[in-house]
Amino acid sequence: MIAANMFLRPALYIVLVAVLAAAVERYASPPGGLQLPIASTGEGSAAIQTGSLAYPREAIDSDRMRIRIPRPAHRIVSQYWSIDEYLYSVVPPESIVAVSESAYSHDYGNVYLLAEKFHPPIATDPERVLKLDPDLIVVSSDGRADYTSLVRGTGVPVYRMQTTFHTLDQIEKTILLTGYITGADEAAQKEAARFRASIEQARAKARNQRFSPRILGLSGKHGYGSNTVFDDVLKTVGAINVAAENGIEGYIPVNFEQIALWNPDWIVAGADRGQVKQVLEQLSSDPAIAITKAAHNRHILVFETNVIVPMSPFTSRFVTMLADALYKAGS
Amino acid sequence: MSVLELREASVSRGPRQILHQASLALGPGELVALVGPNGSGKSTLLRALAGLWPASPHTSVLLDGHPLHAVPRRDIARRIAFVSQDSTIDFAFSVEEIVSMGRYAHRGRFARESGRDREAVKLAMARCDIAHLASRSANTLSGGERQRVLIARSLAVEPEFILLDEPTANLDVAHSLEILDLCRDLAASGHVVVLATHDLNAVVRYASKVVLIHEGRIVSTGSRDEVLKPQALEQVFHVRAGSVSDSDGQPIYIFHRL
Amino acid sequence: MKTRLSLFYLLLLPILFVSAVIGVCIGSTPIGWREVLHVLGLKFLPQGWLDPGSVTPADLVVVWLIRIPRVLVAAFVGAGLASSGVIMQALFRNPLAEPSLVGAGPGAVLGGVISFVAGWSVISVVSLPLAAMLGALLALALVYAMATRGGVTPVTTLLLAGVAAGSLLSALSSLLLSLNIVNWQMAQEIVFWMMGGLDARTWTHFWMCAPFVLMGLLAALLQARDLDLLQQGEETAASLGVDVESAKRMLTLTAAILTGASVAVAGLVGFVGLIVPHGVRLVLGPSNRALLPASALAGAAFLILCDLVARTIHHPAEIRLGIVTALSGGPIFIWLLMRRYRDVTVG
Repeated sequence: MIAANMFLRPALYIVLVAVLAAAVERYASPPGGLQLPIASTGEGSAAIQTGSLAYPREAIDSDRMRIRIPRPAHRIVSQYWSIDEYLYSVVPPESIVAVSESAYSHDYGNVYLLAEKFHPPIATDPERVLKLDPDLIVVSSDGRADYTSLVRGTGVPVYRMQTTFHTLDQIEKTILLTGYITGADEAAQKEAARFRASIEQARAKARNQRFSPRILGLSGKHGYGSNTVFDDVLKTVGAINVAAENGIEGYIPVNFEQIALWNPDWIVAGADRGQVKQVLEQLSSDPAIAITKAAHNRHILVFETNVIVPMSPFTSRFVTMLADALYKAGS
Repeated sequence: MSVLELREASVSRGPRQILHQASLALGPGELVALVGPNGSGKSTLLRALAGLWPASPHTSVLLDGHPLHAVPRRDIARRIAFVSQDSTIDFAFSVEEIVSMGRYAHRGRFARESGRDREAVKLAMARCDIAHLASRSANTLSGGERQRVLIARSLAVEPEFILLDEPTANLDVAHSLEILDLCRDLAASGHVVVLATHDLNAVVRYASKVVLIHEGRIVSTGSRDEVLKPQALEQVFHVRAGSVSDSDGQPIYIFHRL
Repeated sequence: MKTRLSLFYLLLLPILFVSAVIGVCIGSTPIGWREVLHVLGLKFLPQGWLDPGSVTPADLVVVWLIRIPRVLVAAFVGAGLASSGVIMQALFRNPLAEPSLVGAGPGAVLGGVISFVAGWSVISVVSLPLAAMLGALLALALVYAMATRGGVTPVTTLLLAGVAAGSLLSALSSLLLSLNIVNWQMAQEIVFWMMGGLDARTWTHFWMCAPFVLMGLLAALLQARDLDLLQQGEETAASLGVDVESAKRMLTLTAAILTGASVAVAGLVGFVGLIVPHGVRLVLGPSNRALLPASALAGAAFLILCDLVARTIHHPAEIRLGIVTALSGGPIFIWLLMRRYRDVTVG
């Protein structure tokens, strides 16, 4: 077909230019040479390798780039909501010079008190970020490459942190990683220990129970299936994830009629600040849910969004609150 | 000596057949009038002659014996000019710009305008009496002036064959006659001019050859008197035709309802 | 006419130059024009001519790595969209035609959305532009396949097929977006990108856009005469010697590349391709030889100014570029429409 030939050539040119541009972008060394070529080790997104404790330190980020960090960081920029939470849990709050918009959110965030106290600007504008003269920029593995590539080109160490988690263990490791890249190793160890202790406490509570509660996690119309942090939390408190049991993987919409069929013992849901009562009423009165054991025994737990949603050190709060709610004396 | 001919050409658009095995030969110096009622296939025949119907096994149009669709588009355009009936010019090109578009066939895409080109354009505009309108914007012209511009454009091509589809349809009497005089001059200077029309009276006094077409078939070809016999006219146009002679002995046709 | 052209350029070129300069000097952080000139001097003059200590490294980075690429990308995107608009308006013989009519715009958007959803845009900065440009080409190929019968692609069929394909591709983009709305970070990025924007543009984006816009503009200029003739009607153009089918193919391909390269680095920026050619035509007349470069430059200036407005009017937040062009283009478009109708009733 004539059309095929006509389009093939331009398409090839475009691909060629793109490949060249990508190569230049990857391999050209920015001023200061703070990035070294791609690490040869590291298996995919989960591999966060770190080097020795002496400075200059090297850490491999989620792009598999080896980032060199010359000294402890005192002017840190965070570009993502979970990264805000990691940083505020580990480093002194004055060291955080810019945060993501979610840091100020009362609904989704857990660090708004600190953010409002120290009032760092929001990090979306690269110009302002650079004017702040940062010594470490932490971006998310899920963010667009444009922003990362722009700030990478400026010579400041940019660490791309993995922000999609599936297990509590990953969160703990990331706490330690945060300490490593910022130089706040002691604080990180402390925080990681605290995190672990909360988890262990919840686990202990669960061990003393006779049977495992069947729990369904809901957020609006979405359910939490296997391969989510929520799922790992349920495992930790000794519960069975009803959604995962029925083949749901990840965080996807669930059909409310199925909930009636699954008949969970407990339902755990999230609500925006100030909406807890309403969501509880809504769920209880939904016909599909009203016939479940959970509704019958008044075992519908509604937590505020910023308790359930985090994938950061603040997740331990959810674990503790859930274990308490499930296993309070007499239940 | 160039000859443009149709040989047993049949043209269909989808299921409808518009031309049935039409045969026609055109030689230099002829002013041919193609007459027939609306829908008889005049426009289609003209377009076929201009090579504007897509090539198909049934359209046999031959230029000097070579099939037209084997000739490159630009070469055809250099030799055959076609002026369509409904050319609406919506953009505000100037008259001179429009007429000089006729030189495309000679210049192509990239070549600069040459002295030759400019001359041809000037001559064409003079012949059609629009030289005074050269820098006017085309959409400020009257219907008649516009028609003359289009004819000038086809003249700028310096073609051998000029095919005009209803050129006098939108013109007032004076301009109609002007155009017809122009056509006669062109034929006299060796061009082949083909006019499709349904205005019998004006055209037939100029034509050297008349082709009568009815429902896609060529009914007869020949001189005016041979072709435009009352019976033929009645059959084709569904009117009763009579003629009277004017002071020059030329027939004037008068029509009555059947 | 010649004097009109000279006058036009005499006005336009300074406007373009001044907007570019203002675009570089103004940003979310204050940098004086002296510092800007210093940075340019450091970059272009040989080593040692200027004292590197006269500007802070932050200033250097901000001017050279952030502002200048952004202004240049704005210029080329504006030029690309405006030239594409000229081609579309001539090809479809309608002064209200615009670049996305042959499906190239929606195709580029779909390519971009796919690259977001598949995670490619996270990997490399070129994935998004690349996917967008390939999307534009594929959309055009699809439209052509739908509209061609027996080697002939009538312009009206092309238009209808383009609109139909455009709707289909837009629907697919919306579908992908809705299926992934859970990942709200990604969904937010997709929506913002679809509204058009020049945030975080780097030299990489410049290199992915500028060569194609230049190539496209050159190709269009070479076909300017064909465009003029096609504007008189396909049949007329054919009778005057234009190889109509081949010309249409080349022209729509050129328009697709121009549109694709622009959407690739700036998302969906509407109205530029509609009003800039129209406005320039009102001043310079319909000859495409003159119209193409003039529209390109006017489009460049227009978009630089729109981007400036987008960056500064709601400081420090940025308004999406597509919104600014629509809000400024919309009223101008309405005014042009009313003018047109006024002429018709009076004339």
